[in-house]
Amino acid sequence: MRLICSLLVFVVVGVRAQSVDTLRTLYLSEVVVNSTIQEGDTLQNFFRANKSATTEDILSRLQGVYLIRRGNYGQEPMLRGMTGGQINLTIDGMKMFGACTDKMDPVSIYIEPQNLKSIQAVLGSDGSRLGTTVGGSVDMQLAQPFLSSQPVTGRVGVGYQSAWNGFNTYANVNYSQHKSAYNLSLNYRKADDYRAGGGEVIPYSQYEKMNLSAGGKWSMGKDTLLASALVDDGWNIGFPALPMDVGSAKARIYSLGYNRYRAHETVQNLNAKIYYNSVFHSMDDTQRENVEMHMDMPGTSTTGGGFVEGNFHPAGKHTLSFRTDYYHNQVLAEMTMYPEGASSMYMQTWPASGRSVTGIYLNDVYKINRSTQVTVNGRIDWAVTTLQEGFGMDQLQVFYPNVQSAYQQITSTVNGKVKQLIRSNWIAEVHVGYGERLPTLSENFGFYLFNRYDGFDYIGQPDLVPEKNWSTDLTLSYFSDQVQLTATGFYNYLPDYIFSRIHPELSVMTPGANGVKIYENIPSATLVGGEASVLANFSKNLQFITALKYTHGQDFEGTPLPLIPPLTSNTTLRYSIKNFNIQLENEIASSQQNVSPSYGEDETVGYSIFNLRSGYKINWNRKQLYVNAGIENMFDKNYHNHLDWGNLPRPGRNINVTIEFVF
Amino acid sequence: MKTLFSKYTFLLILAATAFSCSDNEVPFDPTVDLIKIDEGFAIGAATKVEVWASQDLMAGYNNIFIALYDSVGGSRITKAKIDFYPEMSMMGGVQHGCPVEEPAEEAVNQLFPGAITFTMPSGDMGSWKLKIEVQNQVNNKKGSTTFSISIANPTAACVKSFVTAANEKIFVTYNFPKKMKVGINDLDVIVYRMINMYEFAYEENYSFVLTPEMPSMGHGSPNNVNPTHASKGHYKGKVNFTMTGDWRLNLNISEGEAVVKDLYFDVEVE
Ligand SMILES: [Cu+2]
Ligand SMILES: [Cu+2]
Repeated sequence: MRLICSLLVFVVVGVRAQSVDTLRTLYLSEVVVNSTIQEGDTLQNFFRANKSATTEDILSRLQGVYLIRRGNYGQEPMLRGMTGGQINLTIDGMKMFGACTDKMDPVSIYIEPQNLKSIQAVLGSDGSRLGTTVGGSVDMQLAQPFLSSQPVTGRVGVGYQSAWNGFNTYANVNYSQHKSAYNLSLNYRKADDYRAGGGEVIPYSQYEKMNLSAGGKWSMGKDTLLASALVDDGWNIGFPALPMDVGSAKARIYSLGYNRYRAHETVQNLNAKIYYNSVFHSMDDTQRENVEMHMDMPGTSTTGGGFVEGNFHPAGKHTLSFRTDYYHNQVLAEMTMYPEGASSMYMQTWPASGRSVTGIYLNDVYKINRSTQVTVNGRIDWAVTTLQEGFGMDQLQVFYPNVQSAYQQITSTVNGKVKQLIRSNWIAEVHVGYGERLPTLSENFGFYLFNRYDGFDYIGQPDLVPEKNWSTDLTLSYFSDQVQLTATGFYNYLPDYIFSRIHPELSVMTPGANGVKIYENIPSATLVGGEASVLANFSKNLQFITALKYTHGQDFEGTPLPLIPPLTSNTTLRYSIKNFNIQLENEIASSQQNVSPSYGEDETVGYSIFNLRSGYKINWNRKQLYVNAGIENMFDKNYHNHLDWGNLPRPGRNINVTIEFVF
Repeated sequence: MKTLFSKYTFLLILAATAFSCSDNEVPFDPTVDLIKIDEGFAIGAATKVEVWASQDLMAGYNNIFIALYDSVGGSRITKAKIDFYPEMSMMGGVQHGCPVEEPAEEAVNQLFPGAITFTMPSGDMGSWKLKIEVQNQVNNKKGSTTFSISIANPTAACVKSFVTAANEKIFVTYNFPKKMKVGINDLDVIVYRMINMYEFAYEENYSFVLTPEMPSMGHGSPNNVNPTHASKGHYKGKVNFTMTGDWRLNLNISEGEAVVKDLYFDVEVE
């Protein structure tokens, strides 16, 4: 039993070791949910206090992380102005890709906070452990079954949200035996159309989803076997900012893992996994009124792969860790349109295509002395992108008569970091890095993908070269018992930035579209910005945290890039005493005047909203009952963020109550 | 799509099995994708004549394949001169022919490929007969046979006619050498000038601007190649379809600087 516990601790430490950074990264870029890690208490408590939070709510609080909204569901994570193929979005280190050509299904929607142990965000090319990247990575680590002296533990909860008449019900059970443990969790959410600030009801913003996950863990001395399965089914999901809704979205995630720990061997810790996941996503417009022509758009994306990662026994001042992985992703998205009195029309908006990537990553931490640490890491990926012969290829030949059935690309990332302790309370950290990323299959082979934002049909470009990023970050932190300050500035110069250009000679496919754009590499783009935060413990009972984030993006001609978040601040003041806590939150976003009119953007005004959350714990017979209540957007402000599609107002005043029983 | 795919796979497997089981003894069947329209005997030539086509005969350009056999021994004849004499008897008593492309004297894959552009469907308007005259190059005998044929009226017209400023009647039709598909397609536009009721000349001096469009959506497709004259009234070009469904092939026809006519053909891409 003791062994198991130390193993558990190790796993936690191992996760932290991989992030390499210390305290700072931990609480700003990693939120630990349902875990006992002490660092990051403030944010952790924030989410503890808000048990109805979705994974997206949690993501939005991470430093450098933003969300693109297209409705009340399926928000897309963005790291410092970079999104989609520019970042790695993984689940327990597993690659998974959405099946929606309109990016309605970033894979974060398939993870409920109930399934989540922690989220780890690494910004910029430094996030290349999970794949060469320019923008960074977000890894959602799933909760595992745990060995415990109590055979049965768990929690059951129910929550209500007034702004969308939403119900959230969940249950979570862990069953532990001597050397094995199993868990099962179930989550059901249902939401009606939400009410925006001022009272307007946003049509087509409803959704309903069910999430079921099960896991097993078998411990054999210092080795552990893990198996897990996750089923997420969503239906009747409205996307008010898009012309179509989602009739059905299904995700399946299966994995088998192996963990090995030998404190005194060369390879101290070894973690291996094989996995398979699939996403089915079906869009239609049957619920919409005044539709000129109905259409169905089903899409599938399946990914299978495996990885081995671990770290070597520290040798002298060096600690080396590694990862090698492989995955194959296969997609197909179809579109059938039903004109009145004519034959139906069929096309493949994502032609049947796939990609296999094999990569290797090495990270060396060199502790020169007690106050200086140098980290060097790099990754190289070999990618084979395939376009299946037949319908989809024939289609693309219309634009590219010489389109090939296979393309090979090699991408790489290199990073160097120096961390210097200055006096006893200051830490300075400099990062310089170079990263590359592959074009997405959408950017390579997409066929008349309608983008509601700018109203253009998008066509892929098979000959895109990888986008690059030369980046540097400088972080200064100050620590004391009462106060913790952090300020980061970053600069990204992205040659061969993947963007799109209008082709006026092409006729649109989507009725009413403004034109056709084709993806291309533009000479470069620049993203600069920074983050700052202040954490203060005024007393044992009173905590204060405020975080600022800012990004500015422009292309090589100085034209603003689209979808660049405005200056945003999140401030929380939290008071807790005994079994009660209450916190007041403020979110401010500035106006955004650096907009891209060619992307259909207009200027967005700023806003400031307030939330109030509270929690009360009742101890009862060594079990606990948690009651949480809160008001989001207390003053019922009608507002939207610049990253919200279609200037759609966000939910108005939302009163929420959650009751959770922990046993 | 999927059912189609599996169906083809099944057929392929079937075909593969058939081949593998037969020690390559199965004789090559040149008419495998064709349908037989009719057969008869060209009496004077001691020849059996089979008429095959890629689909039911219809008003428009029809690829016709003639198979000839020795009417006694049954062996295939691969050298012959074949002439087509189609004729329509109209209700009012008028009779006329239509443009034809006679096969070469040497068979291709044991068949004689030719073409007939029926200018009208049969039915209330009248009825068609096709007389085929064969000069058998093996026995050097000549004979003929006549078939009553029915010419279907396609849902969208496949042949169009107009009268020029010089008062000449022009027939325009088209042919896809391969089945239409989404992607790049070879397209033949064929133009005949009527000389009299039975004689038609190749019109070789036109130029075309081809603009495909989906009328139900109002969009076109990029990178099409305007048909230009190759030989015998056939103008060869390329048409691109970006999706299945109903497409319209708009053709602006001109001769030198002069605009001759704008017309279109509706097609369905499966
Ligand atoms: Cu979608
Ligand atoms: Cu169309």
